[in-house]
Amino acid sequence: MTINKEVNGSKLNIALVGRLDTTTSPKLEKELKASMDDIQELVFDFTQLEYISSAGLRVVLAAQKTMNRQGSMIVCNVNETVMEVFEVTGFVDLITIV
Amino acid sequence: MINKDKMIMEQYREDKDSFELLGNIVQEKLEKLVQDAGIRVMTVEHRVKKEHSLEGKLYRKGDKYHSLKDITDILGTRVVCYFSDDLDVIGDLIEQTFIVDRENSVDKRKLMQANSFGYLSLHYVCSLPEDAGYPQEVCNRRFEIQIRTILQHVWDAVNHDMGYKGDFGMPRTVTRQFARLAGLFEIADEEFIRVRNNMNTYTEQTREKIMHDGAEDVLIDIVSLKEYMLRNRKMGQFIQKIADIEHSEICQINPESYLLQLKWLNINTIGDLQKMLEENEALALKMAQDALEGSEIDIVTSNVALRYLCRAKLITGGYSEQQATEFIALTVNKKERAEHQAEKLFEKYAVS
Repeated sequence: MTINKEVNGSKLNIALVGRLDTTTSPKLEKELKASMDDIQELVFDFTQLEYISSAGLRVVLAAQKTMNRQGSMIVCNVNETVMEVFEVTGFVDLITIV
Repeated sequence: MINKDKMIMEQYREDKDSFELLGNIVQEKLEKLVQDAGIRVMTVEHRVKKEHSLEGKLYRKGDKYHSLKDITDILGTRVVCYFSDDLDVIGDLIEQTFIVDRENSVDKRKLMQANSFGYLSLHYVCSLPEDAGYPQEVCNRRFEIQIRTILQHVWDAVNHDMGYKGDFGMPRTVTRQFARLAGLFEIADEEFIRVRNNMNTYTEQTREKIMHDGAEDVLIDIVSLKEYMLRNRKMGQFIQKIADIEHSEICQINPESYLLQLKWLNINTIGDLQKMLEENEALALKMAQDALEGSEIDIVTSNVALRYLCRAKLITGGYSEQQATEFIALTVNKKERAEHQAEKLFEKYAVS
């Protein structure tokens, strides 16, 4: 998985390419930990994210909890496969998907 | 500018960085204090007095100060809270944490005459305790902490913006208008406490009813739905059955997004929801199994229970596929997706 990160003031854009699973989630978790201080707006771009597993859901959940305190988070351009995972697990009620 | 004031300004320039450091330390400490005490506040902030502001102060009140140490508000910090009964709680925390200069600390609420209305907030002049491991350069420096409610903050900010610097000089009519507003805000602060207390009482009463299966007639709102999802035994068991499909962790989340969907399904009371659970549990669980079994997804939110119950109700409640599309479209923003989901739902579960 590739993580493309762009910081613009207090806004952080993260675009993921590939699969967010048990193997790749720690990489995203580490990247977020290093980047989220002082961030008020977090945008995940999932245009090229092919798949998300439980480990990926947990990283998204942790990011959402952080942003509940710091500002806001949105997830955009979610494909059908990933959207189905969000729906069947109820994560669709937890995160803002646009 | 006289020599004494020049000396104070020189000292200020030398010490400014230390006050900046002190400001960060005090702000962080205040944020931790309120957070640990579970008090929600709007803001904790600090500022180091600007050079021109100090010059102005020396010009206006120069006789009062002989050195920089005499001026207690070079660093000013402020805690703005939501409820006026938190003022004293925060005040107590400050007294336990910092060294308070009693002589210069003021409870403006007590200074105000009983028949007057005006600026009410709690002011402390403090310094850091010397034996607490803080850098030496920030110890022995006094700073001010103001604690006020949002409304007191609004009142003072507008007052300040209009150039009000003391008891004299403002036209009488304007002074009177400010006093009337202060009275109004004082009442509003008390009303906010009543609103919060009423909300707490309602939550506790609803919780009791739900825990003792006596909530049939309670209308569904954000409080009752949240308490039901958290504390009702049967709903808890149903959520657990869904989690057991893939041995999932359950992430408790706010069920607020289901208020509209339940209303659409004419589920208006906790009794209606309870009945919906009893009548649809088997089908809802089947739907959850079909969606989750073998997926290796081992985390679900508590809201999955409502998701599958609502979809089961669409099948058992005599709704048409068209109506199911309308229902799904409440939360799925693309019409085609809503149509597709309704079609699949009916294809799989509708009894012909």
